[in-house]
Amino acid sequence: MSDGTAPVAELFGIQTTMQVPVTAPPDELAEHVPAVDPAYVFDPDVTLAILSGFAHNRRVLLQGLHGTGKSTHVEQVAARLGWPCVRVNLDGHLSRLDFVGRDTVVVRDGVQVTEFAEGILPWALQRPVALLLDEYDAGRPDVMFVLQRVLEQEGSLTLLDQNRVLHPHPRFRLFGTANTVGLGNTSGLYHGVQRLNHAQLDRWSVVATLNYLPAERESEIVLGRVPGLRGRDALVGPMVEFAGLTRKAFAAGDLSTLMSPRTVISWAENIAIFDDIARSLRLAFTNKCADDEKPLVAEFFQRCFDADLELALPTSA
Amino acid sequence: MNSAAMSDEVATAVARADRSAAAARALGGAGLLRRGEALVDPAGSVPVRAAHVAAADLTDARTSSGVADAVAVRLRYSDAALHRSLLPDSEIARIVVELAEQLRCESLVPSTLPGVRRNLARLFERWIDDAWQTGAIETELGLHLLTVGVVIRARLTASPIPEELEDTIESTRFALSEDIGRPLRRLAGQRADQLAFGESAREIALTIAALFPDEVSTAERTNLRESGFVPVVPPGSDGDDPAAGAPGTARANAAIRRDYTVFTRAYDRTSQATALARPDQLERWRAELAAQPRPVRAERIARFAAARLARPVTAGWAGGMDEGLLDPTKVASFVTRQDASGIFRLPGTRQRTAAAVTVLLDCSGSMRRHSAATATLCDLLGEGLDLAGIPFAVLGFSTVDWHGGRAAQDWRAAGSPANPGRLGGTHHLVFAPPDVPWRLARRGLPVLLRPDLYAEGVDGEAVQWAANQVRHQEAERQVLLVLSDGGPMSTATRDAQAAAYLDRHLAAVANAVEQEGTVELCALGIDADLSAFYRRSRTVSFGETLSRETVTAALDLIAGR
Repeated sequence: MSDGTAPVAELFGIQTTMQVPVTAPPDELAEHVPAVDPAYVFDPDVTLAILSGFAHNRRVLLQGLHGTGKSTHVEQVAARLGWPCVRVNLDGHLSRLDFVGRDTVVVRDGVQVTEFAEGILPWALQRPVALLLDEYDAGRPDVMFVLQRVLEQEGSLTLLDQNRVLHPHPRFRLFGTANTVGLGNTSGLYHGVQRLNHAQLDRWSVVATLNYLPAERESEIVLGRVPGLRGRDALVGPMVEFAGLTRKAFAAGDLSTLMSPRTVISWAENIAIFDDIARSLRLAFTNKCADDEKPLVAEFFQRCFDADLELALPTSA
Repeated sequence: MNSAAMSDEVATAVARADRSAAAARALGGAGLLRRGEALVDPAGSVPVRAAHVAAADLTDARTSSGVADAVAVRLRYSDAALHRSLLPDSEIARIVVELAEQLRCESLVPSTLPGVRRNLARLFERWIDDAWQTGAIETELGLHLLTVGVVIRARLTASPIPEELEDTIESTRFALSEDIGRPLRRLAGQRADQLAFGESAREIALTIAALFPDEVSTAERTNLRESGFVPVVPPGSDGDDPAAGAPGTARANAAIRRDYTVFTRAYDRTSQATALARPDQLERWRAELAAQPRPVRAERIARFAAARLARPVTAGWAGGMDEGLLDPTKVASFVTRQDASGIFRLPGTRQRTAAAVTVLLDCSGSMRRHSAATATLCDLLGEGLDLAGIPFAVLGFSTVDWHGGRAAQDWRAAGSPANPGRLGGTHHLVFAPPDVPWRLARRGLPVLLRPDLYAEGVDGEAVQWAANQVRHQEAERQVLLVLSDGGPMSTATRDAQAAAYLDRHLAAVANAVEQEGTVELCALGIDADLSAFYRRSRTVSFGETLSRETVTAALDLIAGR
């Protein structure tokens, strides 16, 4: 792939006149370019938000419930642009030193010396890499402050331990994904997420929300991902409908588990293997539900498939 | 049928109705609540009054799913305000327009929900079957309404009219065809347009209504209402069905509470339970209580409560870390041992319990046979919650005597004036006072075994009293759990006032407490469905002794599930 620009309409099938840079990555970073998934269905709004991040150096934060494909979205855009993309999962135990780097003791010529080992942030900052911070809201807010300067466009990073100032590579990009909007675990669903500092939240220049897709698009994705189900399109509609019911029931507090698009795909894959809708559902979803919620799941099954889940597959089977 | 099987049946029916209500919420009726056998919207009114839906029961296995789906599709596809503006004046025309609008919504169910289509078809067939059984079909008006319903449904769903019905309705259908044929043919094409459809439906409705003028058809309409063929409350009227004890809107509730009166408070009492027994009696009952089997260990309750009612707060430090800030207490050991592992510390978290729990026991006569089990439940909850550091109190309510007692005598002596309000003295009981360590507080619990404690119950005033007691506690969440086996009971009040007088007051009081939000109100129904009064309720079947299911249900309610 040669350097240059390409029309978005051609790469992603979205109606727009926007152009995006397309490059061949340096050889040593080529392994970091994600593989293209030809079946991936792009959400136009979110794709444009991510593209603005790549093309115009915006800091893009994607927010949405789990299993909506936030990280995959960024990766698939990067894959089509030929942009190396490195994914870091944040958690509550990630410290500042992990990010920035630390002095480590190494043995050189038989003598113990301390040497500075660069963290992921200085490494990525100096390369044409898109750094994707997964589960941004799981990171401890005080640690996240090391990102404060970097979040600003052209913001440089000062390494205090090293007395060095790093300037970002012109093609360094930063993306984040989060389940919540930085207000903490308000739904009770995302244990371990933090309340974010709003001065910091403010520095993300584009915040896009990826919610569950409309049913038809979700069906397209499922059919795209599970070739074994092609030709059985009539089956996918009720499956997606079923997933929608579990999400509504979750929002109403009637179920404590919901079916993410990822689970729908596992369900579809299981059907391709077992050729049994009820059994596949149990393996992909019902077994995750609390016992007292299973009757409600059976109600939803009846609505979508006009069959009794218990009769189709008794629990003792 | 023995009583155990009967109570199981109640619990099953309630579970089924709750499941259907949850399905209705997911299918498009967000915010729907179950109140007894009906679904109501958040404002407290019944969203569907169509004949085939209004007469069906949410707790009945044959109609439960159908009713839920019917209400859900109505909320999903119909604009209530627009529909109300299209309703004609006469009752019969209203019934027809309401029926047509409901059938329109039902016909819009997508093919991805085949089960919903089947449930709705079954519900409609059931309405037809009932019309045969109750004889509604033999009246002229009944036959006309049924014919219009069947014909509209056949048009909208493009399904044939059942053969066995065709002969019965043929002549009516033929007679009507000239007058309603044109609007009827338009209906299918207007399915997606509520306004255009509604105007066509209105045309049909007015034609039918013209055949049966209101002043002529009064007797016939009453008959059809009584047989359950048409809704008891006509579509479009705001009046709630008082017989079902359904709570109305917030304004209606405020009016009920304002109009609630008490004939005399001279005999009302509030007692500390410990004062109601001699020491030797207390000792005997305590021994009796200690012999009761306990299905769950208190430690288990404590673990559950700590996990569900406590929340982590940042406090202090967690030491022994390999990163973080240098822990000053480890510096000396680092210097001497030259070992850098575990010399850092990070901010730590601690569980803080943020709730206070109060149980309000219904001590009406029918609860007497459950006294040992309820006392055990309270003792067990108290012990478990105390271990978890959660304050716990037990209150109760009864009346000072039966049949209104001296208050009723006073009333008769005063010449039995109309609308005396509540008649009889209430008896509010404190079994385990709040703000006292459980070890001391539980002393009053054995008094629950005192048989003559149990009389009648004025639930509304009791819930108000308990909520006021609870409100002053210093906790982030204040949970009030009501344990009862039915609605309020005061024979004197019932005879002097309307049957639903106390029921309505309880529903209004519960609604006010729920709206206010300071106190989290929930109710555990013992072999009874309390959803008509409380927004959050569970039903358990109660045997002779306390069961594990009862404890779990109580804990779920306390934990806010």
